[in-house]
Amino acid sequence: MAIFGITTRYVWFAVPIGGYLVGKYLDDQETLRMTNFRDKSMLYGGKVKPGDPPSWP
Amino acid sequence: MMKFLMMMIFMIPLCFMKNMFWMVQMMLMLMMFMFMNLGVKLNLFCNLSYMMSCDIMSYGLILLSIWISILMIMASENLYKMDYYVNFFLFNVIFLLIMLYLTFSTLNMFMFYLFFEGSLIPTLLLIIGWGYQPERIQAGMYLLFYTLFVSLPLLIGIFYMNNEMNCMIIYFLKFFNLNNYLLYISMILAFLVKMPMYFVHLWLPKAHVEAPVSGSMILAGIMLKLGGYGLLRLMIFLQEINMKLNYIWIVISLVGGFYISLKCFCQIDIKSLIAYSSVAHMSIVISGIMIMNYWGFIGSYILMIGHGLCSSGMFCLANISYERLHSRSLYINKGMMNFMPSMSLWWFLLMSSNMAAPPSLNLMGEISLINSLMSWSWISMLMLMLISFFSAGYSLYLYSFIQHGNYYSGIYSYYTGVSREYLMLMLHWLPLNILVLKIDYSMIWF
Repeated sequence: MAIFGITTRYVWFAVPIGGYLVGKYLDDQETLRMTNFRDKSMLYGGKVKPGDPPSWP
Repeated sequence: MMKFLMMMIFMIPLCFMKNMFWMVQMMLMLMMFMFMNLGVKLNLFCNLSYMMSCDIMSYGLILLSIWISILMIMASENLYKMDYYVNFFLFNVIFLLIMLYLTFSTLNMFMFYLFFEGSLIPTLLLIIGWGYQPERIQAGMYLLFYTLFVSLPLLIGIFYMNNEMNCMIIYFLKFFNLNNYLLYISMILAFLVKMPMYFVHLWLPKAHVEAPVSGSMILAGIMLKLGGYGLLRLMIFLQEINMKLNYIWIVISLVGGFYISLKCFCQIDIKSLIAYSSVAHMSIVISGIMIMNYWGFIGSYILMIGHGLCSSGMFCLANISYERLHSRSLYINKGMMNFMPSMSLWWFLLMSSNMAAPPSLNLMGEISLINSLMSWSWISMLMLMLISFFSAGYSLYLYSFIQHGNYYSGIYSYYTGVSREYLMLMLHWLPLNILVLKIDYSMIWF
């Protein structure tokens, strides 16, 4: 069965998409790790007042 | 950036399944559009993760790599039809793409070196594995040894740099200035051979003539741009010494570019002619980078993108003729207008883009480069005139030799172009002529 040429073989698209999601998880973990250094440098640290939201998410 | 890397790595097992040829291509297309949606418009490094990142320069080149890989698969349908190690071919393409992606996106100099040289292996395998003639072994050796001979100095240069500056991060290179002749030579020579500069270009026509269409496409489309990318990145901490020595490379490139465009008229092999025309174009790119002003840098970048699309399209066209006539000789590929009238339109469009006719990216790049070279020295005007004139000349020569005249009487059977081929050519030509409408993205990275 094919709807607009889309057959069941297209299920294999889940594999690279799965890879994408794994990579996204890793990226997010890395971003989380980098928040350890957020707004703490001598150059940019003073710009955020205590109680303000951080400068980047 | 890990997202797309993992996506490509997960595609590898799919390459070894049966009848996955077009599926892998469509997955790459999906990735291309997902990558486009990153929408990097900054000259700062975005999407930092795990020592990978991209600014607008690497973003454009990664987009080009994915695009050319898609078109490589599209152009190699013959392998799929004949089932000629098609799984390993797909793996090779994906592996090459991973190497290129990592080269363009890594922030570490040593990693850059590693992947820069790593991309040589799949290219070599493409040439040796899917080439047509026995001479391909020799061409592979040329490719390997020209590049490796100068890559070890680069490695030592990078280690020396690490020793001096305690830093291998590309972003931080701008805080340093190393004024050392040996280091300068060892750092840039690897890229100049890869570009290739005149005198060290001999591996390129050989590799192109022996490579299959996919090998030629990736070689002309991306591998030559690796050299330009490396130079653009490294030039930032070699500025002072480069100001003393740049005239050497500029003079070699300009005079060499002129010689090479004359050599184009002596070729009887279509692919070899296109390969020589690549050398002529790359010589202007080298001189633009070596001059180190704004217009030179952006001009080189734009011309690299434009040339990647244009020459890859011309290799496709050469292969389309080759698949029908089983010859690449200019004496046999004649009178094509009688056989494939619609294809002659695409020959015309791509040839006119190659001679930097409007509205292609090549025109924009050449205008910037000519401006920058003229600002460096007005005497370069002479060579620029000659290069521009003869590049138009050999494009016209190739077009009219192939399209006009009497056709070869020994043709036994023939079939006209198929829609896959027209689509492939359109996907080369459209970005080349539409990207020029938003050229300012290429102008902000510096």
